[in-house]
Amino acid sequence: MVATVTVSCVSSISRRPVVGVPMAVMRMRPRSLESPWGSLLGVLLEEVLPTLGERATRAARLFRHGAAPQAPLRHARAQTHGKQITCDPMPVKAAATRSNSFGDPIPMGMEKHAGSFVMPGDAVMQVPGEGSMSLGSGLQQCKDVIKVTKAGVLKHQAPRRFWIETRHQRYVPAVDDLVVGTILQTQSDNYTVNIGGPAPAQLPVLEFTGATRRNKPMLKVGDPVYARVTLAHRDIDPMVSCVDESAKSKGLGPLKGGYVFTCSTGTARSLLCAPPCVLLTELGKHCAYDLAVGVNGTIWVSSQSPRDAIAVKMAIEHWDRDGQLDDRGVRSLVKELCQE
Amino acid sequence: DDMEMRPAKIKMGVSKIGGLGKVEGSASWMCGKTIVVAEIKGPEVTSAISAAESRRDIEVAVKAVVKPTVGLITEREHEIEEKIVRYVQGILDFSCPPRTAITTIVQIVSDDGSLLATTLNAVSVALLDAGVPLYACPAAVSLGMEKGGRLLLDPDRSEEQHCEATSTHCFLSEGEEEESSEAAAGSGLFLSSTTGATSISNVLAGVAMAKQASVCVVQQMRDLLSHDYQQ
Repeated sequence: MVATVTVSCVSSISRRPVVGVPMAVMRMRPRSLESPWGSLLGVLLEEVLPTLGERATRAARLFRHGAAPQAPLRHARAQTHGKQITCDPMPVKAAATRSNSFGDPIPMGMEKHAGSFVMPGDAVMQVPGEGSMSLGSGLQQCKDVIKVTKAGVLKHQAPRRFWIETRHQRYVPAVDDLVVGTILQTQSDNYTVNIGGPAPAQLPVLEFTGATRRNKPMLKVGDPVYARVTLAHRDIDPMVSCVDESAKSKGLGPLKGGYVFTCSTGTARSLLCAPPCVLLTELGKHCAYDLAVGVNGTIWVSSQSPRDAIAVKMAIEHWDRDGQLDDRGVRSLVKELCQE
Repeated sequence: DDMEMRPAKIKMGVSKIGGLGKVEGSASWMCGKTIVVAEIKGPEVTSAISAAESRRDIEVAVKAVVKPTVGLITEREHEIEEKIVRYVQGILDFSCPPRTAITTIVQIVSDDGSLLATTLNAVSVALLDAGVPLYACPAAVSLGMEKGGRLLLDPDRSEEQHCEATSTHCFLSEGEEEESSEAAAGSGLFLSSTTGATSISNVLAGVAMAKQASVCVVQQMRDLLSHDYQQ
C-alpha cells in the first residue's frame, strides 16, 4: 500500500512538429543546400511551376502535409503521444460528494477540478493510498498532499497524470521535447546549445544524422538547430540530440537560413495543437513558409521572401502579446499584416 | 480598527517592451499613489555562477536591485534590496533548479508610504508572472500603529509620520483553512519588519490584523491571474 509518485516532466500538448515533412523535403535535395533561398527556389520551381497561380494551395498542401496525423512517436512515452491531445481544457466535473473529480476523498475546501486556475500553495489532492501517479510541471509532492508551485490551469489526463499548464517564457527541459536551440559555444566534442532553460544544454558533435568522426557538421555560434531533449534533470545540465530514431525523419538537425525569434512557451504549445492552429492556416493562405516550432518557445521561420518571414514573425508575436483571439480576429490580423 | 485598505491596482507583464527574453516576469503594483514596478529574470545560469568555482553549491542565488525615483541608490534602497532577497529566498520551492540565479530589478516610480509592502507585493506578482516555482502564494501588508492604539492599514506618507511605529508583515497563504487560534494567529508569517517603538500587544494585534488583510491581497492576485489565464 505504498504510493509511489513518479515525478516526470510532461509536456501538455502534443509535441508533433508541424514542420516535419517540409524539412524532409529540403533534405532530400542535398545539392541545393548551399544557399537557403536557392534551395527554396529549387523546391518551389520543381513543385510550384506546374501549379503556378496556386501559391496558396501549395502552402496549404505543405502545411497540411506537415500537420497530417503521423504515427505517434513510439519511442517517446506512449501515454502522451498515443492520443491526439487537443488544446481544450478538460470539462469540469461536478463533485457529488466530498471528493474531487479524481475520485479521491479530500477535506472540504480543497477541491480542485481539472481546468480550474490554481496558484502556488494550493493543495490539489491527497497522495492516493495505492497506485502511482505522474506529476508534471508545476506540481510537487509535499508530505501527503500534492501542491501547486506555479500559477496556471490544472490539467488532467486519465488515468493519473496531472500537470499545470502555464504561459511562461522560461522553459523547463523535459525528455523527448523537440526544441529549437541556438549554438552558444563550440567545443571539441560538444556544442553548448541555448534552449531557453535554466542551464544551457550539451549537444554531442556526433549526434547528427550521418555524422562520423571525419564528417562532422560544422556549426558556428548562433546557428539554430532543431533537436530533441535526451536528458533532463533538475540537478544536471540537459543534453539534446539531433539524431532521428524513428523511421520518419522529423527534420532534426541544423536549420539553414531563416529567422529565429522567441515567444512564450504557452504560445508555442498552442501553435503545435493537434488541429492546426487557425493562425498558421490563415498565414498559409497568404504566404508560403517553413516553420519549426520548439516547445521551448523558440521559433524558426523561413520563406521565399523576407517579407513573408517577417509577416509570420509579427503575426505570432501579436498573437502572443494579445492573448487568444477568435477566428475573425486572427483573419483580420493576418490580412492586415500580409497586405503591407 | 477599520479594515479598509487603499485601493491597489496590479498590472502584470508590464515590461514586454523591448522584446521577449529580456525580462521574464514583470508587474507593477499601485497602492494609492505608491507605484512600484518589479522585473524578474531567472532562474538561469549567469556568467558569474558559471565562472565561480563553487558550482558545488545547491542554492539558488537571488540578486536584487532597487532603483529610486530620482537620485542614486542609497542605504534606504540597499535595505529594501536585502529584504527582497530574504523574501524571495523564503518563498522559493525546493524544486527550483539549483546553481542558478534569480535577478530582481525594482523601480520605484513614486513613493507615498507603505513602500516596502508595495515592493514585496510587486515582486510576488512578478514571480508568479515569471513562473518561478514558489512554495505558496505570498502577500505583504503594511501597517501603521498610532499612539492611541489605532491600527491603520496601508498608511500613506502623512499617516506614517503620525504613527509611532510602522511595520510590514509578509504571510504565506496555504491552501487549507486552519482554525484561527491564538497560536495560529501568527502562522504563515515569514517576514516582519517594524520601524519605531510600540508595545508588544500593539505589535501582536497588528500581526493578527495584517493576517486578515493578507487574505484580501492574495485574493486580488488570484483574481487578476485567473482573469488573465481564462481569457
